Amino acid sequence: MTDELIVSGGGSTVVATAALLAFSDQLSHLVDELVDCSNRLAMIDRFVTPAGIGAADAPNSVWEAERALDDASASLQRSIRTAVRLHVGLSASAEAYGAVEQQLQQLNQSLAAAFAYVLGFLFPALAGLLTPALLSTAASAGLAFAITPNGRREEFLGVLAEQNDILTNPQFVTLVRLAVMSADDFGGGLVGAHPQLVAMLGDEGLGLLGLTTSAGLLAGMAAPFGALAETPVRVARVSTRTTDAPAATFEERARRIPQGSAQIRIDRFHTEEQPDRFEVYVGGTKDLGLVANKEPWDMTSNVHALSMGDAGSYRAVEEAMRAAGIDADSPVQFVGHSQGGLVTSAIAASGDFNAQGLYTVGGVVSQSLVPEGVPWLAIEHTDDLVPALGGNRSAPDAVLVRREVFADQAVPSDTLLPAHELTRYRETAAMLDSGGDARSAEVLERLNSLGRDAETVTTTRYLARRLAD
Amino acid sequence: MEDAFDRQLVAQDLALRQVILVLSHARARLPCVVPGPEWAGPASQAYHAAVDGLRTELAAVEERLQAASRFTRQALATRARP
Repeated sequence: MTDELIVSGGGSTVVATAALLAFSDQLSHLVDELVDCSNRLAMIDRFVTPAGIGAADAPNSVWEAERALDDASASLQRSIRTAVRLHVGLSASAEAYGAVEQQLQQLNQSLAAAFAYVLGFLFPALAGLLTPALLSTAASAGLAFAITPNGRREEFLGVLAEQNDILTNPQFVTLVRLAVMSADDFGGGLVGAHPQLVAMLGDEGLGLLGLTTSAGLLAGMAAPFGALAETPVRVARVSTRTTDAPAATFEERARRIPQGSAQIRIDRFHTEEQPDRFEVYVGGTKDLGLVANKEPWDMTSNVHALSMGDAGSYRAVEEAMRAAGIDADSPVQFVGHSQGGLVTSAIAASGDFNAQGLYTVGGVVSQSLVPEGVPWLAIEHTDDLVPALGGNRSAPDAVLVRREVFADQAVPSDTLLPAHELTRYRETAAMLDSGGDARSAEVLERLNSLGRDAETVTTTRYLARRLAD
Repeated sequence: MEDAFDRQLVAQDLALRQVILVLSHARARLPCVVPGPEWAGPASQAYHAAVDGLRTELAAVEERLQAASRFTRQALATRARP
């Protein structure tokens, strides 16, 4: 596993490894220290003056000391220039890397959009040619899966997991991201809209059409077939207990994200004569089915949350927050994994709550912009398919930390998407804690400031269930 | 008998030692790690050469400051002799 973290965002165009950024910060600090030393030497040089030496009839060694001091001052000036050159060089390299990466992303997106438009335009003819063959293959496969006993289905999913190398390939993940961003262009081609109009309204232009509208369209098309249809939800408190202290690191926060049946955890920070503050933790998708059952953390919620619609998991978190006593003025920050990242970023962006911070790991991050001034750090694995389903990030102020988990080792076949596992994100978070850069340290400081001075920390877990419509 | 000039020399020596300490710590903190594989190749070699150069330069500054301190103390010892 690689331990290289790539850090970008935070309102800056710099993209670099965390180690590099940390070194750049150290160099900047070194320059300050050397300048301070230089000022001190200038002051020391005034302690003993040539006139004073003459008047005191000082021995020759005083003159030797003066010469050594002058040499040291001159050498120190050279060192300062070297340190400044190194610092500027490193920063410039990171800036250039970021600029090239941004240009490549824009170019890729434009090319993918054009290709998707042509594909959409030709789709009716392609569909006419391929539909009979595709339908019969899909029907046979579906029937075979339906009549297979449960044990065999598990085996089938196990076989799929053994073939998960392609799903964990960073190039494939990039392709999926581009495909997601180009869904609106495909639709434009399909209805025969003018390509320039589609480009103008889409992600590459005004951003009026894009992932949000595509997800909404998908939900609308699936609803008549009983799929991706939303239902009411009910939230129940599962447990309440006192916790030792607020989370203080990125790893500790990732560890507190719920993984059991309860999907929501809310930590309340209480200090006498101060309003209560809250940290809301939201877990990831639990049900991959397209038809809504009892579990609100499902694909239905994913699609509706992406379309900025009325997702069950979104409503469940809001209800849990209200039950915990969080109102529009309560200072609150959010932590989420996978769908939890999507839901928490959407809630933080809604303006309905007094959002103080956001930390997402492997999140299908919402395209809506979280308000400026709300610190946001996102960890994404470049070999994790799930964050790619949220398309390109459009929040430049968010600090994005990336890592390729399986860069130099075989992909394990125990799960379908091993790079998406919360345990892997905890590893990455621990690396960030031990060797983060100034940007991530600043976000951590802001996140930690919310719970600082808390006299008691109370943890409550909530379980959400869908109700029959 | 210590006069004003001696006190100036003592102050100079103390201040010099403080600067030496700060510089020594700063030099020790200069990292030796390779920033990352994307910096491999000639750029990386140039970068490491520059860091090594900086380390050597700082060592030279320290050496000159230590010499200045040593000469200052020598002067004090000479002046203290009857």
